[in-house]
Amino acid sequence: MQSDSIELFFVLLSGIFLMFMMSGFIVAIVVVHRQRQVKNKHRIELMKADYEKTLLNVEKEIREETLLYVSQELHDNIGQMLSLTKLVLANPEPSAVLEGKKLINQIIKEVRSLSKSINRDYLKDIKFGDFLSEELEKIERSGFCQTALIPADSSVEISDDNKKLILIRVVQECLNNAIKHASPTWIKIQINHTAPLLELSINDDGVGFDTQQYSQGLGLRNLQSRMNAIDGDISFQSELQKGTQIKISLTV
Amino acid sequence: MSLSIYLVSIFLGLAGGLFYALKINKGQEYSSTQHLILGLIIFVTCFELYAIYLVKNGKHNVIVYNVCFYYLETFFLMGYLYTIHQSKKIRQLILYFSVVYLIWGIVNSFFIQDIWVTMHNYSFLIASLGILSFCLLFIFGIAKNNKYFERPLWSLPHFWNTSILLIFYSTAFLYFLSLNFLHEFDPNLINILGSVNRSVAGTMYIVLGFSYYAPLFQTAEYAK
Repeated sequence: MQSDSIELFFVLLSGIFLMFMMSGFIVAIVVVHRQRQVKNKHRIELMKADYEKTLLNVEKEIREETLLYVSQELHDNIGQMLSLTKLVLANPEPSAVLEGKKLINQIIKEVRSLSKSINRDYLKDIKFGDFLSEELEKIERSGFCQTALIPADSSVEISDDNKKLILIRVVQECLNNAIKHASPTWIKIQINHTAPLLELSINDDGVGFDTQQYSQGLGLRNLQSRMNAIDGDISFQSELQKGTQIKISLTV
Repeated sequence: MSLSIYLVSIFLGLAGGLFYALKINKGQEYSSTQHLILGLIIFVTCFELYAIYLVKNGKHNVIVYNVCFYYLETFFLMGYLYTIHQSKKIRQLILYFSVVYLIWGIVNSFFIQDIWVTMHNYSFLIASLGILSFCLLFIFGIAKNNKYFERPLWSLPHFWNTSILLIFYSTAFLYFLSLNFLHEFDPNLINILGSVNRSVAGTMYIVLGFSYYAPLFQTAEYAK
């Protein structure tokens, strides 16, 4: 009878031991899972903050760029046209008044177009394809170099406003780099949109640069980090005196 | 735990499962597995009642427990584990295990332990080890593969189910394994062991029946 009790005690003890072991395992998994959850939440918050920062920077830069463009336009274009109008209207002849009216109408048109570009929602409302076309037109109008958009009537649209804003800024930076450093005779943007993938290729025939040397530079890294922020990709191909090709791909 | 309390536990689990299936489970996330678990509880209720009926009529119920508890319930649970595991490898292992277990059951019935007379404890040992392994793999997989980050583990019915299966089968297989060696025991002592086993089993059926309510208590913070 006593040996029965000992065996029973042994069976019970083993059972309780196993039960505690399994419960311990479950509790350990819950604790580990909770810790990882907290870490993951923290990581996501950091990523969100980073994204917000990128977005703020992009908006600030676009605003600065727009103001610069507006100031240049006011000085070089509208200012000149107003001076010309003043001179024309100083002449009392009826034909001069007519000419003055024509000039004023043109100035009104230019001012309207400028005010549109200052509008905060302008970039959000404009189609991405139209934006590219306008940017290239600006470059060509300034007489800097020839430009081409392929296909010319691209109606690519990006539904996510934040993504669009960041992509617009990336394209602007690429074009600015080409204007400032490459001295090209032409700039060409090629669009390939096979939903949901959007691929852009920005080419120029400028002086090019050593990609190895500049790959760690702040400018290229900045472009890369911005594309990373919207889950996109950017790559550079360039050779000295043979131009540059920048490839951008993004899911839209 | 007396037999009546054990039965009440099963009925409670059944009521919880039925209420969920009829009133709440309208295309919910865990709809199919809830039906499987509910099917299991209905099946357990039926065979437990039938086993009691046989005993009350002076008949042996060994065959009922052998077929229903040792084999069919194991296959039910294997089906459930197959559904909740996402890894193809583990799913394949579950299928292989089930086939091997079936073959073993046939061999055991014909050559080792008579299915009409002897409890199939060896089979239960194999079934327990299988169920324990696949439950352990599931719970371990949650931590290893960083799954379910968007919700707390307590709101996951599969976590409750596998945890309670883990606790029940780790203790129960000791009891069922020792049954063969405890023949000469004082019946009172065997009753104590049986009572402990029924307590854990009763808890298991309650948890299985109510586990699907867990996501309903998920806080807004996680639901975002």
